[in-house]
Amino acid sequence: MEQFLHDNSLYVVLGIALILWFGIGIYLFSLDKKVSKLEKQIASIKE
Amino acid sequence: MKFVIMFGAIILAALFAAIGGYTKPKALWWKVIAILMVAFALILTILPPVSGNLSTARYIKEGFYESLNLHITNKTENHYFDEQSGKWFVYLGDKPIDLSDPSAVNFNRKLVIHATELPYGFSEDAELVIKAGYDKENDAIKFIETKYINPLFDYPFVPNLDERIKILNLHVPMAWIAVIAYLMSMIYAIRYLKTGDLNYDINTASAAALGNLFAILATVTGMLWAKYNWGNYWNWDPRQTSIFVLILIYAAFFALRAAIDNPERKAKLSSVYSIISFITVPFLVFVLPRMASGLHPGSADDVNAGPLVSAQPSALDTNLVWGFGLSLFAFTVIYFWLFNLLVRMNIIKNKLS
Repeated sequence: MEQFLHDNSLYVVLGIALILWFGIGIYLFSLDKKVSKLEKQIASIKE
Repeated sequence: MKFVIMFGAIILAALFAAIGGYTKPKALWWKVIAILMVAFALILTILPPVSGNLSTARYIKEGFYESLNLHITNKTENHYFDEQSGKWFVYLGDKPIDLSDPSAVNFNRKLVIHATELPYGFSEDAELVIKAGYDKENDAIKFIETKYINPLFDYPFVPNLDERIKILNLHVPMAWIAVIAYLMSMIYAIRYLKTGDLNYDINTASAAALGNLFAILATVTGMLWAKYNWGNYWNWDPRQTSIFVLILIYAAFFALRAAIDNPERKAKLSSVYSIISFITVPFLVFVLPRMASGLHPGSADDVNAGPLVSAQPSALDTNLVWGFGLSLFAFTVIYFWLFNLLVRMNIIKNKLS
């Protein structure tokens, strides 16, 4: 597999782009979960 | 000009992020523009071909490459069309090589181009990018296929980099954004110490957290690039080591915050720590990797200070800097968006507890 990636380095570029997207995406996803939890807390306090 | 584009991208992104306020909710049109810019930057990074020129092929070392992309332009100093035989020839060294002859002769460095066919549509103004392979047994370059005719935008062929030059647009912005994040963290820390407003402390922590995220992303992408260029994922290269130390320094920042309960004490101590640790950032990121000898471009072994910062005209082309500037702009906007979300979330979290 290493040799294949060495020859077709475009997939290395693609892999790096995907790492960036997944890294930022996972972070956004976890932020979103935290915000939903907080919103639920606010809703439960208001009652 | 390069510096104008690079720093202009950062300043433009900061101004674009200031629309609507750094910590207030953003309008939908702003988010749509941000996503479109990132999509455009990624497309511009991945799609255009990487091309070389035949003079590059002339001077490569034997056995150094498994494949090359050759960019053949129809300029008379490189090619000519021989009316008599009806064939295209190219000069390699002093000898004309028949591009359509499968048994073209060897010359000086034993590099030969076997082009078994010329693509249809090769006309007066055509520019081609063809893919050629390196035949180890015969020590010859062989034509594999035509990749593009008249590419709109292409990357230059840098020896040893091949397609990976595009990673420049992805890996370098991450590192710069980490520095910007740490800088913002210091600015908010100073503001907290001046005014005592706890909201600034939230901003300090959020900026530092995002700085960590982008520094880790820069390290991981750099490691993947290093695997295919330097041979190993981790080489203890000065720049790799210094970014690792930087991550450790700011990880300690969060350990410090977690250890203190009183909000005012937490804010004061973390502001001081943020200011002090930012003092190390310019040294670790800009000075040390250029002083020490290492593998990363811009180290003391390198002729220039790195392809982006170097003043030499042979270092990164101005055209390419535009693509890099776009990528930098797009990712910086994403950073400001993340900062916005993180600050708002932390404010709500503080209000609830």
